[in-house]
Amino acid sequence: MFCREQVARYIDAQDGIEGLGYRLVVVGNGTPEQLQDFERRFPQVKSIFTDPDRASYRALDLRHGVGSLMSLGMIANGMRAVRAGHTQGTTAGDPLQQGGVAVFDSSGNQQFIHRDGTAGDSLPADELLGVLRRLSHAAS
Amino acid sequence: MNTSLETIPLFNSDGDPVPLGSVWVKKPVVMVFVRHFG
Repeated sequence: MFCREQVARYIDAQDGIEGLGYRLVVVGNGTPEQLQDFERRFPQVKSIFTDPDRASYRALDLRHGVGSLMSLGMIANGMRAVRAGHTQGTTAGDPLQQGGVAVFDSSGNQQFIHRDGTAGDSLPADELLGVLRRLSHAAS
Repeated sequence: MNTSLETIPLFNSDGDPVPLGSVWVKKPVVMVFVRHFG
């Protein structure tokens, strides 16, 4: 449910993201077959990949482990996601992995990262757009 | 350049490997990492 909510947030902001000159790429950690199901659910996203070994998650130091699920915030996040109509599907990937958002320039330099503290702790789209506006302004 | 990331293989839904570093070649990128595909 949280991953669906997270992607839905950024789909709604996709025009704004692209308008600021950025490409939106979604990465998960299931199998390529599980990715096919996710692609069918979110056809609006133009670039979706999977990293079954989670090497990119580790390289970016995204949270992993049981500790990342021990949070009252996760309960509140779950209530918010359910109220917004996001349901829990079958887990397709590592259930102990947390997500995040990273921004890179076209030379591969990391410009920004948000690491989710617990499930459902994804960066709101308006905050992401604010970050992108500041980065675009700084680069111009 | 983030050399630790750029050679990490990602896979598309056909199972074809794509170097992570290729996603930012043409333009800056917002990479959204989801918990899983559930």
